[in-house]
Amino acid sequence: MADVITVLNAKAAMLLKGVTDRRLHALGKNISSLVIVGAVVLGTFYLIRVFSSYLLYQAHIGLEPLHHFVSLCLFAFFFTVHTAGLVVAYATLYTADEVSFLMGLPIAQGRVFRIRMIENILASSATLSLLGLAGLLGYGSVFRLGWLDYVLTMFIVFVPFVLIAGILAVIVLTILILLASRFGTGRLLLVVLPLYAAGTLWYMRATDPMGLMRQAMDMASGKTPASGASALFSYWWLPNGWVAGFLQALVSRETASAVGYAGLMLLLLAVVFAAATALGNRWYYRAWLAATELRMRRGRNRGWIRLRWMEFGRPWPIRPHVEAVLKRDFWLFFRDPVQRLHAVIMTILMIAMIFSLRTLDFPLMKPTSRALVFLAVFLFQGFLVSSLVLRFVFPAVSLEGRAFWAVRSAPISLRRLYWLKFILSFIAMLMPAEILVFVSMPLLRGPFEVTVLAAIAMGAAVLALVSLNLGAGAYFATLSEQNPVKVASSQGASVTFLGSLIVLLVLAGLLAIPFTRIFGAPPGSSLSALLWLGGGATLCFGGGIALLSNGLGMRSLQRDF
Amino acid sequence: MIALEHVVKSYNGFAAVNDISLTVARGQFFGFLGPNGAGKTTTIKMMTGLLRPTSGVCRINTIDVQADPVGAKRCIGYVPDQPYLYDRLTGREFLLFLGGLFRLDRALLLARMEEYVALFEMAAFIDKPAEEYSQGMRQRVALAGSLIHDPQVLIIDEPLLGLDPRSTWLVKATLKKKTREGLTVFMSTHLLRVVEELCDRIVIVKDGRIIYEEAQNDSWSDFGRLEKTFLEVTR
Repeated sequence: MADVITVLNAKAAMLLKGVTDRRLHALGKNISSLVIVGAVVLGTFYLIRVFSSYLLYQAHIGLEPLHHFVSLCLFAFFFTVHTAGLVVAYATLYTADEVSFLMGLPIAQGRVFRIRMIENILASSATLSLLGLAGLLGYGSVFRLGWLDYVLTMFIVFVPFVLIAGILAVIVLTILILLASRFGTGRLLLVVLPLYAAGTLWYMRATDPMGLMRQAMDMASGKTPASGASALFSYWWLPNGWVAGFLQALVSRETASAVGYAGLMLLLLAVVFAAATALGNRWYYRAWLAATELRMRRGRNRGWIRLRWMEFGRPWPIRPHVEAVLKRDFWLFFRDPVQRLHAVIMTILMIAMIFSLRTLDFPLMKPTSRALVFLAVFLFQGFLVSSLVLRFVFPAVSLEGRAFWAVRSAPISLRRLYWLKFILSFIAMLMPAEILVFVSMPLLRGPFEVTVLAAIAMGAAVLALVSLNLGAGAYFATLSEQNPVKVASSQGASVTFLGSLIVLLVLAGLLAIPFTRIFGAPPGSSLSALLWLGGGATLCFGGGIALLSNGLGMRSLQRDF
Repeated sequence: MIALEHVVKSYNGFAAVNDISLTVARGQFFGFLGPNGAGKTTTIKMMTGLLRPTSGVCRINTIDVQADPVGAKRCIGYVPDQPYLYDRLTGREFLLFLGGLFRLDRALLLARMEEYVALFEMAAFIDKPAEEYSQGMRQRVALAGSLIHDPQVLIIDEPLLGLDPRSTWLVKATLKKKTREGLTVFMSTHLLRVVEELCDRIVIVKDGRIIYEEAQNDSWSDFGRLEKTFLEVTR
């Protein structure tokens, strides 16, 4: 408990310092954080409220299927918090300078482990937890829950749920490092990554979210009777199921059942915390040494890929300073194992998304509902692209790093350097985004005009998202941070990500009317005016965001070094 | 060759550099001295375009660094006090990268690189990743990088920091030779023996202002004379 208080004290002091900072730069950061976070929290609140109300009172799917759906959403939430924790924990617990400093002091390794673990959970799940709270409030407003219900749900179910995801991430990472030091990182990843993927795939197949969606849609359109969904199979033996079970018990006023789920959650929290404490006391120092040795070994062995045509000594038929920057960025990216690994994970996610769309089939739906499905798919794709952009484009300026002196003191215009980064990022992000659209839209059997419009809108989205992330990345740049994952999970990055979500929602809003009209148009009618209008509006919006963001980015790049 | 005109750099009302004016002639070896926090590195960063002066002008080869940064930087070679390199590039790749930024002809770049690899005795480590380098190795690579485009002005901040005696001797010999060939050197350092050995002129700054200036003279050969002066004027 003393460790928790130590960390919370330090965090509160830092937060207070940050909030009360009156410098213009800090003030701008705080106000923009407040506005964007506030907008997204409100948006989440209304989205969950409207969606829950729709499923319950219009689709009449019943309490149990609704909570089955809640359970599925919470699984995704748990997985996201867990994965974010896993990624950030490597930096927080194993590579951060503070850990080296603490390890040199006469402090027990278990205490260092616990302090860093709590810091890691706060760092990796604060924004997600805020969104979770907004979602809970949105859900609760449908059932008119009282303040005591919220407090109870928050502290005896939701917070333990987040903590379990975060603690498990740290435990898994520590075990992985110990195993990697024995069997090698490559071999271990070959086993662990497919295991994670297979587990998630199995859960999704077993719980059948698509089936649930289809049934809800069928009930909403009156195709099947409202009682049909109650036969859905439920999984109540995972923590996400317990939160859903607790909520269902709460709204049904089944106190004994709610106490049971809360008890299970608290018991699991106690078990994982005890396991983490034991692991930290016994193995943290060894794992920390192993991680350090793995990094040193990586340096000696290099394992760098070799491409002769990309070597610095091989001339290209372009301007030498452009060639130098391109080759530097290429090698710095592909020699960083974390960047490579994340690029592979993102590619797998994209392929998984395309495959999952193959199972969608809504041939008999009304034009509005079909338009909604296509908009939802567009939003999901946009969400994936914005994650890609946040992870790889936002840190682009920060990754100039402490060696930025070499570029800043060389005769290359910073404006040109910025545009070079922009063009590279834009092309690199546009390709996967358009592949997503051109593969997925025909899979959903949408008309050709919808595919064209979605492709234009995705182009506008990539333009806006890349500009926003590059510009904000330059504005919030931390040249002293060499870990791209930490840069992409900083406060500035969180604010930018929320900004990206707003951009996507506005784009989806601009597409809503053209999509509905296209689906409702009689066969053979001319739709070119809709394409011009919808495409033009999205491009104008994307262009406007690009103009503002890149202006901010270029000014920020010229700041004092 | 170098001219600073009433240069001021303020942070939140605090003047780190407060109205500094000086000129350095072509081929001169100029020593820029001062206690910690005197404003030496800030001044150097303004001369290399890494910081914008609050007021005043820095000129390199008559070019205003703020008005035409690209033009001014073509004439400059710069070694910072902490010469960070890209951890995931080798020293050779870093030099080729810098050569590209300065738009050097490929053949000339390769020839000069080999020359400096030999001169600074870097062959043993130049093809290893920079993350494995010691401070001295980084310093030698950065110094080679600053000379690879044959600059007219070399601005160096603590160039001998972390170097072993042999590397120190190598660097000093190279700088002497380059100055004889017409290179203008602007060096900030705390090593007064090195100043006595290399510099034609010195300036001592304190609290962002120039407080002492002296050209090389016979008294510099008196052991400890410069040190005594430094301690007196910076008290």
